[in-house]
Amino acid sequence: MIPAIEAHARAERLLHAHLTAAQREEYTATGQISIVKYGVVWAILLRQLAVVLPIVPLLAVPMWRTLGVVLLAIVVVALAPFWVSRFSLAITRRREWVISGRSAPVLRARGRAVRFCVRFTEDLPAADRVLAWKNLIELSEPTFLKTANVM
Amino acid sequence: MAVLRVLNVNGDDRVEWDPEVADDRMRRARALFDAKLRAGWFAFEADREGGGSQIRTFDPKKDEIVLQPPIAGG
Repeated sequence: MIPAIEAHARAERLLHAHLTAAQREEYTATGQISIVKYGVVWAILLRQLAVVLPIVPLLAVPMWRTLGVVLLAIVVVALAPFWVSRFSLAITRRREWVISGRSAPVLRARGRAVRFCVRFTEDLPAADRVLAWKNLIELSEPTFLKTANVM
Repeated sequence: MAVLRVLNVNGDDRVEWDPEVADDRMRRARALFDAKLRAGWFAFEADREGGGSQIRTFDPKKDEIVLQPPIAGG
């Protein structure tokens, strides 16, 4: 293991080499970077709709239709508190992620900030955490959302 | 030279190899890559413009691969 100050310097150099010019400028000025994503998060919608999918065939069978409707209503009512926030996030056209080495990424959408209780399983220097969060959010956002229980 | 970077408490550890030579260094990089992904780590190919893509198989022709630890919580 090398001294923390050296590890920090190495991580900073690595991070700077992996940022875009705009991100580098923002990180130097504020110690954080912003990533803006557009469009529907289909992975969330499809995963939530898959929950009710097993009930749908019941609706096609006349004998089971009433039971199907009742079951569907129960599931929808039970899951509504979870669905409202998840669907709201999934259909937001513009999502801004704020990434710093101090905490997990913060999502700003529809005028509110959402904080997630997610961490790396290994200890990393702050600049490495910024790089790793950036990679996840930019290149594998559904993986992050799944771990954060949004999906 | 190609490089595999493993993010850790030291900043990162590096394994370098020549993409044109299938030697011990390349085998070591491949073995490390496979072992980390089996343990739930993520691999990203980095490009020169600050972007890249997630990868799930080792490609010795990639210039730079970053391995980072799994995430937990929720």
